[in-house]
Amino acid sequence: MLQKVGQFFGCVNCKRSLVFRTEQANCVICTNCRALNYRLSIPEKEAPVTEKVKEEMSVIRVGTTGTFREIKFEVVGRYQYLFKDGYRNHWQIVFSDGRESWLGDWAGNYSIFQAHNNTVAETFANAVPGKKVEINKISFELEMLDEHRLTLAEGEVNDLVLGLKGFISLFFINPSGAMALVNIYPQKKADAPKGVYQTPRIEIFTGNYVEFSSLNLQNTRNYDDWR
Amino acid sequence: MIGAEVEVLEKLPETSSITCPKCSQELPCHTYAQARNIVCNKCDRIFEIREGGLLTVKQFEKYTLPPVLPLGAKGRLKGVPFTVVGFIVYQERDSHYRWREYVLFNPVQGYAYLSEFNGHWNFFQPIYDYSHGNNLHRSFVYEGATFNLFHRYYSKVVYASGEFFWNITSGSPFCTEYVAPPYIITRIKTEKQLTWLLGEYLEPELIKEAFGLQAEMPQQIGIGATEPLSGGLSFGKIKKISVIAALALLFLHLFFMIIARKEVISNTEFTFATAAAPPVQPGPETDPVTQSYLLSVNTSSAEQPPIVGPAFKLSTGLLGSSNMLVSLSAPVQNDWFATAITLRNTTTMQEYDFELGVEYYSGYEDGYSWSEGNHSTETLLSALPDGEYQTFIRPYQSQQNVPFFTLKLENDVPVWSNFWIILLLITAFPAIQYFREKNFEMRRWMNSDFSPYDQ
Repeated sequence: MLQKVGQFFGCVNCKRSLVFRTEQANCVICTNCRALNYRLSIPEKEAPVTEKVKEEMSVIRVGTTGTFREIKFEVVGRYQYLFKDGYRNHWQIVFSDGRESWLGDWAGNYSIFQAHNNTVAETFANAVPGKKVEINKISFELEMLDEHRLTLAEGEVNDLVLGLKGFISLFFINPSGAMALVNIYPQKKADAPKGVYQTPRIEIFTGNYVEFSSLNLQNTRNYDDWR
Repeated sequence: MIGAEVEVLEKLPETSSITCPKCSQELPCHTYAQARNIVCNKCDRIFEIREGGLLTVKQFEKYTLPPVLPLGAKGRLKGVPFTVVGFIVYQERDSHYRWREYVLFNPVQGYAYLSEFNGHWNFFQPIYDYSHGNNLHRSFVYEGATFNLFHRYYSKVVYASGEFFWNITSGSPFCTEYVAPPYIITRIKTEKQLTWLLGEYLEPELIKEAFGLQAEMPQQIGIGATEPLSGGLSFGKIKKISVIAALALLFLHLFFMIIARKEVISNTEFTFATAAAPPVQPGPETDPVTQSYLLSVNTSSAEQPPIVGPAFKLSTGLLGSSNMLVSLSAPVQNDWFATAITLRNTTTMQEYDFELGVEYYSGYEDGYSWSEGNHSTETLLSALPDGEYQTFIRPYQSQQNVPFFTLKLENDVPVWSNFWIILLLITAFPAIQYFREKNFEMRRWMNSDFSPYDQ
């Protein structure tokens, strides 16, 4: 059965009403039972259940709305990346004009960014903090690199992402407020000798840091004690 | 427990806690899954937080000084409510200098830091709109302020308590500090991260009030790296104000010079009679302004009544008073000449008495010509009320060999002395501030290896 965008359906496991808001996600995680409800699913087959996201004091949640450059958006899902030295939330947002994007949220930093795929992996060779690289014709400086530990998710996601582990994540900044994130996934052939890897697969996001207040977030978790 | 799953979606949770696996102490946890390290304040062990539980990293030596800001204390700084979640005692890796940092947390605004060294406090927040990467800069401009290199060092953690969102014991970060008091920018470089923090000097009393502290704040020692010079405006601002004031003064003075009437009321020559030209009758002989008097030789005597000099009328209009410049000149040679002058207001009968004298001596000694004194002098009478005046003159001389003297009365003349006095006062303030500031800065930079002042 194929679930269409905007069409409500019952969770395979607990029958809670769910809906796909985006085209990209291949599944939506039930808020009640954590079941992965795939867009294309086999009726009556029990769905796998995922781990809950960790509490890290984010005020954003699935269903939070806001505006970016005067266009309304709604949060429909998130990946919660836990790294060796930090964490990062990638909230999937859908704009009122149908575009999809990411709302970054970690340690008081907020950003809006999109996937970008025109940069070769060699750009990031020998990356050390302070190194300058050009991504999407913008000069960035490496602020931080971190090692992935765990990915959790909620709402609309792509379950393939949940299976990607052990990547290196690079954080780039530009004084203008532009930011970039690069995830480098080492790939190894099944029959390759020990220590021999193929050219790593990279995943790149570029965007801009934004002020929390400028997002005009509504339907957040209540944080009155922290205002 | 730390890293607990999200249980309540509607609101942020209250503070959680975790039990120390070594001593069973309950440790508060405000940041949940953000925390990477947590330190037990009872057994002083630092743990790395992992999915499987807490892994002991090391055990600190007991630190005897309690934190000024207790863990869990809440306070509002820069309009943001923060909770103190961590306390770290740092030490320079290659020296004995130690300082204390408090990690402040707000779930919306993120992290900030309060750093205290020798009783001087700085409030730090990360910035992302400046970096000069891995280059070494002696100075740079940020937000219009010039930041100068103040200090460089490797830091290490000697004690900590609370929770931290990074692994505080990994490596020795290389720190570079640039100051533009009251601001400081610190570049922190590790193998994995390059961070820029913008700090601002805060008065201890402000922190005490913000966090509702009862205990005394650490005593201030020396001058802080970012401590601003107290006592009003900076030299730069005073200099600007002084330049504006000096220009205003100059324009004002030029204006008064232009409108000054510089009116010669009387220019009178008094000639002493000789045998060849005996006096006929003392008194005016020509027009009221340029007059000549022929005096008896005996006039220069205390026993004689004063000479009735020229009469004049002062009528200045708006202010009701004006100044008067009285000039005396006499051709004295190795002699002196003086005269007492009285201006009598014939309406009020108020008298203004003053003396003017000239002396001039010259000679030739040891092959050199010398001279001292002057043939003329003047005095300024300020704010002389309007009215009709009569002058009375009583000349004195020692040898009766001054043939004549001239007395000139000028009304409403420009006065440069006031201009110079006010200008001196105007320039005194920036000069004093400059030396205060320079002295202060020299003392500040005594703690730096990069002082712009000679050590």
